[in-house]
Amino acid sequence: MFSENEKISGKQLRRMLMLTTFAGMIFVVPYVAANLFGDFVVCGLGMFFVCAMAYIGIIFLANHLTEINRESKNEKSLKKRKRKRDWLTLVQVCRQFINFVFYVILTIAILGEAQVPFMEGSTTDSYWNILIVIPLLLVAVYGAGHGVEQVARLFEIFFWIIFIPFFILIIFGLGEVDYSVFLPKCGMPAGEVLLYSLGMLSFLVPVEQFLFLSKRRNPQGKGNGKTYLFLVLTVGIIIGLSLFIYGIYGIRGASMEEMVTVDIMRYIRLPLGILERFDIVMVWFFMLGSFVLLCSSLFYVTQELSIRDDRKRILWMAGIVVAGLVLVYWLPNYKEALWLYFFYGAFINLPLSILLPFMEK
Amino acid sequence: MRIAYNEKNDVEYPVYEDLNKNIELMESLFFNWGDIVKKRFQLQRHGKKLDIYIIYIDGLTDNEMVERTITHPLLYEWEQLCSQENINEEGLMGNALFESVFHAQTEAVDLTAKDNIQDTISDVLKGDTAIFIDNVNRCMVLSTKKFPVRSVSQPEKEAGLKGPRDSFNENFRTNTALLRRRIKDPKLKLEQGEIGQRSRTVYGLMYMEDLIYPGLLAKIKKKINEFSIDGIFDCGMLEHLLEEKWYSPFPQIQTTERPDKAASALLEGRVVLVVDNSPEVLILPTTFNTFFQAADDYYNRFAVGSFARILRYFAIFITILLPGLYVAVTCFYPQVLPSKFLLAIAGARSNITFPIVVEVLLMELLFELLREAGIRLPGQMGNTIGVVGGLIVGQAAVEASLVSTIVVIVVALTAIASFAIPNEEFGSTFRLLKFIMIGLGAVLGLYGIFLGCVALMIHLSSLESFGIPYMMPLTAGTIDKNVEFQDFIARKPIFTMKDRPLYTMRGMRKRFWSRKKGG
Repeated sequence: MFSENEKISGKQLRRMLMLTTFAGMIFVVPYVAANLFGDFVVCGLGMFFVCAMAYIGIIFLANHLTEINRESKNEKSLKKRKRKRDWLTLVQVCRQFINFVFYVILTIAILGEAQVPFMEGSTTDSYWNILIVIPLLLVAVYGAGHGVEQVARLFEIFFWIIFIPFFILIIFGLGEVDYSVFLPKCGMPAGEVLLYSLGMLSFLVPVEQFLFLSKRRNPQGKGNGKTYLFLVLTVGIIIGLSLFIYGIYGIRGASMEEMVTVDIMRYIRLPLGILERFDIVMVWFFMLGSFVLLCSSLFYVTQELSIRDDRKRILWMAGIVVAGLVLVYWLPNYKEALWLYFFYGAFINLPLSILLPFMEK
Repeated sequence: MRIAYNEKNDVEYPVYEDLNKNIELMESLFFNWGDIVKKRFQLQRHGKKLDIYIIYIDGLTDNEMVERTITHPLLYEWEQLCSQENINEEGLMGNALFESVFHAQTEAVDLTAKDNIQDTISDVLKGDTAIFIDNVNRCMVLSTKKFPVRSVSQPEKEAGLKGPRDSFNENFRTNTALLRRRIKDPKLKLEQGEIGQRSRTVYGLMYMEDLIYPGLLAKIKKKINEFSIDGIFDCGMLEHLLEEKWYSPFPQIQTTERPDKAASALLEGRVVLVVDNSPEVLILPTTFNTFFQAADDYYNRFAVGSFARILRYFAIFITILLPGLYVAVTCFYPQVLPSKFLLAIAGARSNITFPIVVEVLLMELLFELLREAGIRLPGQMGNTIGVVGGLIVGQAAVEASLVSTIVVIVVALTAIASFAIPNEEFGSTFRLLKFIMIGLGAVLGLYGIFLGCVALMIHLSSLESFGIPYMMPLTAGTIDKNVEFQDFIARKPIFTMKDRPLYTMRGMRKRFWSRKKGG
């Protein structure tokens, strides 16, 4: 039949990866790129695109090498590596946990923009804000508590829903765009552009989930080229949308607004006067993006730990949620947390995402 | 005589050679049965005597048939029933009579031999007639079922403007016949069985032998054999027992009262489960999308059918979201609405004392009460309740400043939308979920409704119907590009729907061939 084999199709794999990559980048890239590159953002994003292609390529190469290695492993060597594997798992869980904590902070910021009742702005040190985010986390736990097949199905449904606001953004926002922003300006030292671009790769780290998903793909190893192309396309879409946002908001404006991707919707009017304020409705889609990030980070934590028992899985996730919320309360607000996450990503997370697959080998 | 039953509520007695023993057994089993008809005859042939015992249930049996095909010929017509040589030996006379009647004499075709009491009484309880003969350790069971049944009438819940007007009724055999009439193919199989220790309800699994996944059939059979229950009185009971996630508000098995819909499902490689005494049949597996498919979608022009289908999907969103959104937007985000509309709402609500959420809940509950009352009341009165509820109560509520006119419009629109869904059971689920959305919208605004929608999506994604993802073709990746979306939100023209859906076994999906050159 069609299911109950804990395998996903190539299309599902691509959608899962594209969705988490897109959601992980769209809220942060326009703001961070505008701040890092300033007026030279077009060249910077171009360089980022090249670096992204290389990074995705490395992840795919790592997957290829581990696949070969997996086939040649014998039982004895597997036992020897068990201890090492446990350590690697711990590191992976810690990395996912940090991602989760950042995504909670991001979610609070988005909910603050959405004018959710009882929210006290976007601050993370408010009890109310922490309480408000709990229902979403519970729903994320419910989603992540399922097997890979079910989660893949869920992401398949959400795939187009997440992209819809951006199509609307493009369609109704075309008239507002100042196309002069798209002209590339050169003047920033090449080394600096490269350094910042490499740093921005820290937001592309969700791509490494390919290593996990490809093992569950049916049939394994087929269509990797297509997946690579789609991931590169996703990065391209992010860059395109970032430029679009700069075209409407201006580079300087974008560098001032932490939630520029959400705020941009205020500038868009629906035709025929259907709604006065369109952005409040559009925030639904952004909340869905943050849900995807929360759900996927919780899902991957439990998958890393290979928890088969449903009750244990829920308990683990509950523990992670509680620990995460405590940390969120003590951590600084979104803006500071974003830069903290950026530096953590650039100096620790990104190198680890490249090294760990090879160490696992 | 004290009868011993086993744990399955069966008796484990054989049919004895001694007729007196059999009679004693049957009389004990049917002790205090006012409607049982039993008679002991004595046949005389060539100077010898032979005892025969006939038993059936009055009201379930065609008495005339019993007299015409068995008792009258046996007593007066079949003079040469046993040959002289067999009668010489006392013990063989009964067997000779049995063989002679069973194989040659009677005009009845549906005649079976039983060697145990359990099978015999099981058939007698269905309306058959059992004939016991002295010195024979078997009995004859003649199919003489005839009980009061409703005639084939028009579908009530799934009415359509175009297409056949017949519907299933409570008679198992009528229902299987209605399907046989539509698919005249020897590959349409019917596997019959009994379910319910006391009700002994007959069920039948109908499927196309060459189109069905063998794994699916095995899974259904396994599921049916997984439980034991005292009685099954409608396919709805069986539906709940077969569903994998009992706690889900969504039906994971489709029910229909339309034979054309069931026949169409059979040709898609699905299984139709016919249950005796049930005016509906079960179709399994099923997906979310199948509940939006009405039979006349396929009889109308494709554009009209597709438009109706799109409307139904739209109706679902209205049913589940409109009241919740109204509460959320008016309570927390009035700035979203155009100012003129906002003023209209404010004006309509100026005299209303209740908060918006109470207003909406009051009207919704009133509507649900009217719907429930309308169903329970007889036809004409039910209609009256609808009119009274809709016009008078609604009008009176507005005039009494209990609810605003806009809320009446919102609730009315929601009610109309909820009835646009062709499957009542499926529509009811959304009506139920609407209340959750109203609650979430009232507490957390749009965020609450968002949470409700996401949780709903997660739940729907996790549902499966006998191994088929419930949300197919939206989920489950690329299985077959030709068939995935041919009959989804829009329906393609019939000649372009060349392949059967994904339920059909691979390699057997082709269903349309053009006889034109190159077609």
